[in-house]
Amino acid sequence: MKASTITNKSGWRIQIGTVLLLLLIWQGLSMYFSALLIPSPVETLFAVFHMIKSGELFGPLLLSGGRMLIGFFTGMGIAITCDVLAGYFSWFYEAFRPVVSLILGIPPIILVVLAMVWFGTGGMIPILVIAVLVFPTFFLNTANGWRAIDRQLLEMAAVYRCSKFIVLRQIILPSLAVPVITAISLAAGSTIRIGVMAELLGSDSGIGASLVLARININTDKVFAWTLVSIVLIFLIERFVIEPMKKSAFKWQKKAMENI
Amino acid sequence: MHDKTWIAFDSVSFQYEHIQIVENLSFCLKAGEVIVLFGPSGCGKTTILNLCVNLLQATKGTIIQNTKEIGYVFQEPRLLPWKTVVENVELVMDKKQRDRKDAVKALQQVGLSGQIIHQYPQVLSGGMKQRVSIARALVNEPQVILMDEPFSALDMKLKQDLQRDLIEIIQKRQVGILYVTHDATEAIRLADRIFILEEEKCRIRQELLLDTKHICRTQAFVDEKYDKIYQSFMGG
Repeated sequence: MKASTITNKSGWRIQIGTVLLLLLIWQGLSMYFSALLIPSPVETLFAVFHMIKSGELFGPLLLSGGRMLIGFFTGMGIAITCDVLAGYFSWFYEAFRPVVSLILGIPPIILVVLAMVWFGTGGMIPILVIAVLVFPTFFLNTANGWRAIDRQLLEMAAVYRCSKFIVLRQIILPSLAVPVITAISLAAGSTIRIGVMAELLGSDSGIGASLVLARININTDKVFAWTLVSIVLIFLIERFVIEPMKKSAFKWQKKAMENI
Repeated sequence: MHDKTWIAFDSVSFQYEHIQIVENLSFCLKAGEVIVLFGPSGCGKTTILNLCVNLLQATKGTIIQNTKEIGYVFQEPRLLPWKTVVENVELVMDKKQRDRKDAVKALQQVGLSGQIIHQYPQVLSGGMKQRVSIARALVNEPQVILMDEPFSALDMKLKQDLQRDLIEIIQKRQVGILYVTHDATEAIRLADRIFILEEEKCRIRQELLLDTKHICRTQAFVDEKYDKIYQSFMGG
């Protein structure tokens, strides 16, 4: 059987083709149904431009973005601190595993409801829910990465009496690059999705609250516009934050492959 | 050979999970001397090297180290895949006293120069990786080098070239070498003393002194000693 090989260039063409096909289906559906149910892609774009012009877009976007960043980095910080402890003390890793399983088992919506019961509504809800939900992704990925650090390299460094800083900078951090970047990649998308959902249910400001307002006023074009903004946001983070991080961390692999 | 003793084992024992791996081992490694530890796989040869550099702690007895400059060529090259060849050597270098030139020089000593030293380890062959590992052990000009079957993965020609280079380095720098192998020919070519170890507890069954200069070790000499080692090894 002939193996199929897809070059980078034709890969892009296929992806653009898929996006165009989806737009075509969307356009077709919008022509069939009322604009109150499914606005067309052009109407959605107009709604985005209108929101930019009226200042409706950037305020909630910045507010939600800020909350998402705080929640993301809080969850990541706590997870990495726990990982360092788990790396040094295996009992700590074992002790935390049930906690991680518990968090993984809770549907995000239940966490939002509980947070609303305990803390009322407001900006803290999305921050708290994001922090709690990104924690297991970072904890598990980094802990597995930590446990997979090549012990032979650490032994080599010990024999040559390399300083702790060199061991951390040259062996531990590069070894953790793959799991941490994988965790960032997984958590970034879910941060936006969970953040919007938490705001929608438990906050009176931000993207989620704007969505509620648009739904109440039956501004379906705005609902679609916010959805489009969220998708674009995830795409931009993937393209301009995660991809460059991956490239930088795996530069050596690319260079090595070029020389084979 | 000088009289200076770099490493001394005095009645050293090592036990791991109730298994006695080394029992009551005593010997001295002097400057410019090559001691070959010769024994079957799993008899504890690598454990002796690991005890020398405190990767393992002796459960009994004392190990005296009169030098801090110890190079170690592991059985596997143990190179950082995200560092180039020269950066791998630089990693262990004493940066206050040495710079990249010293790393390049150490690599040249093992026959690696030019563009290859700026490549990543994954593009190198097994033999080349091991040569980088030897260069890393040489870069700080150590007084003792521990070598754990360093040439076992190399082809015959390269093995002989590196053995010759190693003899030159020993003679030039008066380095003490503790060398682990189960290749009798290699042991005879390199050693000043060969410790033939027992299969259990790493006891020295026989110590073979080779006082002929390395350069005079002809094939006939190797064959004669080979028979002796073989007989001792088989318990004859």
